Amino acid sequence: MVDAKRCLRLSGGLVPEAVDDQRHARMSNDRKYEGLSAKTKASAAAGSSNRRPSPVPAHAEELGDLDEEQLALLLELRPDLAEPAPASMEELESRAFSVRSVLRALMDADNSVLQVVQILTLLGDKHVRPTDVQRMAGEGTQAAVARVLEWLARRHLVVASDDELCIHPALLTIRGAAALGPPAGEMVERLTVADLQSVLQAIGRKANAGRKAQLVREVLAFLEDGDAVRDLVAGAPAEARALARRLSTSSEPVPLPWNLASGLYRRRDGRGAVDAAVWVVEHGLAYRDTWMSAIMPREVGLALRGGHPFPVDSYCRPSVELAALAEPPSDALETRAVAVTQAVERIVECWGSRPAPVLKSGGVGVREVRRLAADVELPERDAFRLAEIAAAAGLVVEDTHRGIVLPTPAADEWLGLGLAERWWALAHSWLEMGVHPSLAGALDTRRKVVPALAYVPDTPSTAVAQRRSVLRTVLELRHGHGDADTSLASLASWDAPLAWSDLVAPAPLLVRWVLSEMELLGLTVENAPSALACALADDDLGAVRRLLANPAADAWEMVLQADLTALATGRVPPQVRAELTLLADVEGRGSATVYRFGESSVRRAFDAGRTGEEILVFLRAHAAKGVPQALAYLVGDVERRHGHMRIGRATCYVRFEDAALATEVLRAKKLAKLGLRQIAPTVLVSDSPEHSVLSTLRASGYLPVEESADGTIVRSAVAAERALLDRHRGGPHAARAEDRTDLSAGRWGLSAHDAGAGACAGKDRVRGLAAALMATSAGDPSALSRRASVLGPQAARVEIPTLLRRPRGETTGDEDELFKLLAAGGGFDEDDFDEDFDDDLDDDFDQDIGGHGVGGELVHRTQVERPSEIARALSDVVHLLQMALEEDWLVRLSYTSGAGRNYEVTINVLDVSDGVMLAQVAPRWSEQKYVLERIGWARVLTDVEEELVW
Amino acid sequence: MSDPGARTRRVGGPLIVQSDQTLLLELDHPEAEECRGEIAAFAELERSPEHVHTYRMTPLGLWNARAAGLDAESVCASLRRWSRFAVPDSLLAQVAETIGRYGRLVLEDDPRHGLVLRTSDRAVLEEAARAKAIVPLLGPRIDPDTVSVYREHRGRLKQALIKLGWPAEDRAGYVDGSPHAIALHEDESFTLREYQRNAADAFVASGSGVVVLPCGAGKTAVAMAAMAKVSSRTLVLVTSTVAARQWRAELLAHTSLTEDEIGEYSGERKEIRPVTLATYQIVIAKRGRLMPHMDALSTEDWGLIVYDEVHLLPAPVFRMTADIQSRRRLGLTATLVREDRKEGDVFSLIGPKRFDVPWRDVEAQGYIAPASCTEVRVTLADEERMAYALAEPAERYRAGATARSKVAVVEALCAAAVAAGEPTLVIGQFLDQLEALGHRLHAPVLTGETATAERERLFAAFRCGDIPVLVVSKVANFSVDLPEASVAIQVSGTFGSRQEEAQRLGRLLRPKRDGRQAHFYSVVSRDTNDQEFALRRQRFLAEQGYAYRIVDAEQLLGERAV
Repeated sequence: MVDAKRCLRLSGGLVPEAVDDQRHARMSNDRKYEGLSAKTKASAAAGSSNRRPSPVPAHAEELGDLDEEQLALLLELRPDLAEPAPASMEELESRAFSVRSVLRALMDADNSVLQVVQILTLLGDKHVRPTDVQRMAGEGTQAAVARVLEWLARRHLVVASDDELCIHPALLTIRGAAALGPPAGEMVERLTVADLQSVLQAIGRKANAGRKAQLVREVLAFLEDGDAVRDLVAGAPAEARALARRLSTSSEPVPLPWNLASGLYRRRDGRGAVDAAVWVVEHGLAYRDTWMSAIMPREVGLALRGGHPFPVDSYCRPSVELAALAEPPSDALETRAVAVTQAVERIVECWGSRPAPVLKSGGVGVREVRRLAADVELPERDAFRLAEIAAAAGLVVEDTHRGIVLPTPAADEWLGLGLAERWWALAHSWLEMGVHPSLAGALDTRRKVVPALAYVPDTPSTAVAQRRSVLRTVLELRHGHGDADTSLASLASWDAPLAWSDLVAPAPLLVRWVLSEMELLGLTVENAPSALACALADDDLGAVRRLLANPAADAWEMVLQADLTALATGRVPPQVRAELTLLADVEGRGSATVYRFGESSVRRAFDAGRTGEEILVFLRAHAAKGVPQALAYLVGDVERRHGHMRIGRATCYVRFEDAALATEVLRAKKLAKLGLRQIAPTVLVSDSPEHSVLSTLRASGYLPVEESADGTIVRSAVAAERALLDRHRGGPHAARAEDRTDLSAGRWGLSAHDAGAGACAGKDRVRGLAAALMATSAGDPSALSRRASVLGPQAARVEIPTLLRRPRGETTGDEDELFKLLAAGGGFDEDDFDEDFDDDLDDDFDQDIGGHGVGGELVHRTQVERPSEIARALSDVVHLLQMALEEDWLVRLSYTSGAGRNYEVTINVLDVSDGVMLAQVAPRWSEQKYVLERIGWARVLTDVEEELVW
Repeated sequence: MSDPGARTRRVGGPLIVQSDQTLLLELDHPEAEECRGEIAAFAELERSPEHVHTYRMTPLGLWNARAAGLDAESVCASLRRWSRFAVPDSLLAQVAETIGRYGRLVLEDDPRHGLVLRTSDRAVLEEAARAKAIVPLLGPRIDPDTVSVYREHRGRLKQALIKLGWPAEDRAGYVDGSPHAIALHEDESFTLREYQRNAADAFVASGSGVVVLPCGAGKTAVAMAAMAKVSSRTLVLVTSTVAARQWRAELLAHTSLTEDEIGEYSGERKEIRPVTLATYQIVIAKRGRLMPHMDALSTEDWGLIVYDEVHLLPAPVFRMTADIQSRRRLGLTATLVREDRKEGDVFSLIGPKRFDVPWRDVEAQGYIAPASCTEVRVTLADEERMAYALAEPAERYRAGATARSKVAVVEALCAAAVAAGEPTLVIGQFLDQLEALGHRLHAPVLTGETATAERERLFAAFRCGDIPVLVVSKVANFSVDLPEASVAIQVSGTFGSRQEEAQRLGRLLRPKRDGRQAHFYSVVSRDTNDQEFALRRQRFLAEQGYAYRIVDAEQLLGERAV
């Protein structure tokens, strides 16, 4: 498990902004350099990172005195001084004395250097003699110390003059050097006289009841006497001895058995023995820094370490015994290089066609990476790593606006490179990456998978140093590292302790990560370092080119076969690959890519704008063995059918009866704002909403109607909805308000005549009935039909349906009689039943009566063509109206009212007789009587007009 | 864009090893044939179009290779040797691991405990013995490495183990069956070829398994050699009555068997004799829920059972085979690939591949030129297109396939074929279409309803050339074997499965003695689902290496007119 958050925080390098000491206390590993970074952190936290101790004259002078060669060496060894180029010597000095720069310089230092630096700090003087350093380091370290001092001198961190060393002031500011506590002086000073006396008593020294200063001196004298301290500890109870030894190895405070309830130390533990911590404090080996804890002073720690802050053998590099491994064969390098570059290619392709969404919390989530892994046929772990490496190489990047990860233009460039160059780009980017690619996909401390591409660190970071250190170590060992991750880790961390001092994960795990990444990239093959690793370490692209120059891999071939597959082997140029991917679907991958052509894949190419000719030219140009006839045919066949259907977007259409009108509308300038487009001779479409098209056309004098989805006309004059009783079935139904006329007229016994005509109509009806009855009795049945309209439909409408609803054979005698009476005397002939009641009678009645006469014989009706002429003479008008009555046509006529007002109406003829016509008037279909003589002209509506009216 | 120099330069071997375990063999490579000889032993040929053949390594294929004597090292060595690019280590490791699974479990006949399953790897036995499907098949444990097996479950156990991925090697031996002397007559006209002898020896040494020989390599001869070596009552299961009669003729000609010793067990005759030839159809024929013929045959004391065309073996026969694991079983086939993916059952119940003929030997037989296939696309008349568009989905195929526009093309093709003196078959699915075509072409129409006598008469007349064109229905072609023809024109319908299609086409269109190529035409209505079926056929035939061409009817008619 790794601490991902920390990785992000620490990735900026060794000098994070504020890092609390708590976190440091948690750090498990090598704590020897903790002091070093802790101090620098403190200084960074204090404000400016460039804050520096005031230069020591010796240093400044020395820097000024450097000759050109020495200066060049300095700039080479401390590249941060030269980058960016300093404007003046003063600026160079200023940089050279910054803590940050010193840290950078020490980043490459090995363990022995850092140990000597800490000894310098412990010595605590600006000027020290090399012999002092030597003495503190211990016997047998002369050569190592001399080498280190030389190392430091070349970096201008110490300046040697005569018999003295002038120390860089930054080195003196390291706190807690060598993981030793602070000097005892301050701590002892803080004790009370009673405490001092008690300590002296405990260590068996005479506690003179003198002045405090005297007591302090005595205690300090004891602490500085290493042998005395060691003797004391040797004679201590076992637990106290163990505690003292433990405290001497680190500067950690020891918790005291503080009893909160009593406010006193619990001096004895459960078994009655003196508590180890209390013993140590009582004997002056540690001093309280808080109420709860005590800390061991530097002198005691040093004494218990035998007077040397570090073991004398730690100045030499540990030797690691490892199993010898054979040098990997050169073809294995190629396999790995091909595999890794192809895998990244596929990632680029995959995210190019379907960019990966970014999590809210940043990075590409595990689900997305799993999908990627499945798509590109990689293990999930490798997909994570390669995605990270691809991002580091700048091949894919997060588009923060769209929240997706997708390839960059650099990826296209990369795809066009040779194998060696592509591999180099990946390997080099890997080497310089600020994070460990293996961090992505690992479990963090909350057991959550760390997403890919979540962290973009600043450089430099420890990851780079760690990686370089492992690479160096592996190469140096030359004979492979076997399974010895741990020993390799110890070696690597001796070589570059600072690189491993601030860890997101335990060093062995990090080493394992780096090693597995090296394996993935082909830097090692089955753990044995490969020639590629040497080339990368030496920054030698030429060597990589030589190693990965396989003519078979660089040559390429595309073979097309009759089963509509294509086989591409070797280094297919990216343009050819892209075109093939457009034309065909990938069926298999590996050293060769198998494509399959199909109707849909070829269609895709046409969709992308290729023509059949272009496709065939491309195929012929690149197919090593010709284009099979079946494939050429397929291309031709798809081309033939491509685009036979077209789909576009339009908000509404305008359909015309004739093309001329369509053209007229299309050309009308007033209508240009509708953006009408012609898609067929009689169809225009527009992106304007249908209501605005409708109203604009109407405003321009056209007579458009709205069409519903099923092709029927939408009537615009929709009145308010009403719930009504079904006229025949008695159930409630929604009917248009205009129908009410009929209904209410029937129900309330009113005719539809207007108020003025009401009285007249009433009289007429009575008169008519009487006349009809008279005529019948006089034996003239024809009189009946002439008077029918006068009688009015209402009379029949109330009664007749109830009679006719009954099957005719079952009518009762009485009803039959009445029917006969009405039929004969009421003046209804067979046609009247049809014409008047068709609409009103329900379906079964329609079936009974529909096409039949009352008597049961079929009524043959032939289709008559509508007359197109306008009737003006009275006889013509009457004829026309009678025809319209028979054929159920609507009629348009001009009428002059009794008041002299002239108007035109569309009517449905109900009856024509005696110079009077009864008709329903559009659009409300109210019944109206017209005097035939007053009709100016009449014409039958055309089918189309009629449809429009309805 | 391209570098012609780089493209023509060829380096490395003819083989491309893909990480998905397919092998691509480039035919034009000078070493291709040699390479094919090696890889065919452990990989199945999947597609064989004109330039690059695709082989696939499957666990079964590798186990078959192992059973035939190849080991992991030689398989990996072959891959390394022929591969153009470096072979991924992971793939080699996987191959070695797969091969290593075969033979860790062995079925043996223990003198004290009877049939036992023994292992060289206890963990494997533990895994197997705990598997749900296997528990009921095993008896008590004898020692940590051995468990007894109920004898009747020998076949089922092998089936279950192969599903588990631990194929068992069957060394439990066989019963000899009733002896019946059979001798092979070798003379100048008939001698066993070297590989046929080797194949028979390899089979007899193991007692059960499959011999894979390409078409025309003399599978029957291998079977006869095996029968002679086993010399006991033998049951031969064949695909059809016609095949049974061919077998009979071969047996009479080249062995000591007489008419009386050979029985035919088919729809027409039910004879059980020392050597019995039974068809698959009759074996699996059901009466109610029983299979009386299968029961009758499996109770006989056979010493050897020969399965002809194992890849077409009907599934119910496997059940019977599972029950007779103590009989010697010889499977014959040209391919181990089955449409129904029951290759595992063939492996476990008939036996692993025992012999693979080296490719060079077959090649020496002479290259068999496949038929040329031409798809003629007919553009439908407008009213036909409208009829197709308006047809109910269920009727669509019929509407498209029986379009009258096809008639002119068929007529033209037939006229040309007849003019060239080539016997021509017109094959279709819809009877009314065939009737109409027969009428138009003045050719007899043969359907499923045609009486056998009439059918034989027509076939005879067709063979001797009295009838130049014969119209046959698909129904007819299921129940009878079509005679050879040099031109076949398919107007509607397909031949069923792809495997079957290739078989029938192969048989239908054998190369003529004078070296002329056979032609297969399929007349297809453009822009209908007729064309979709054609596309599938095209892909399959092209994969089988048939030359495939598509022409427009207009072009064809134009050519003919010229």
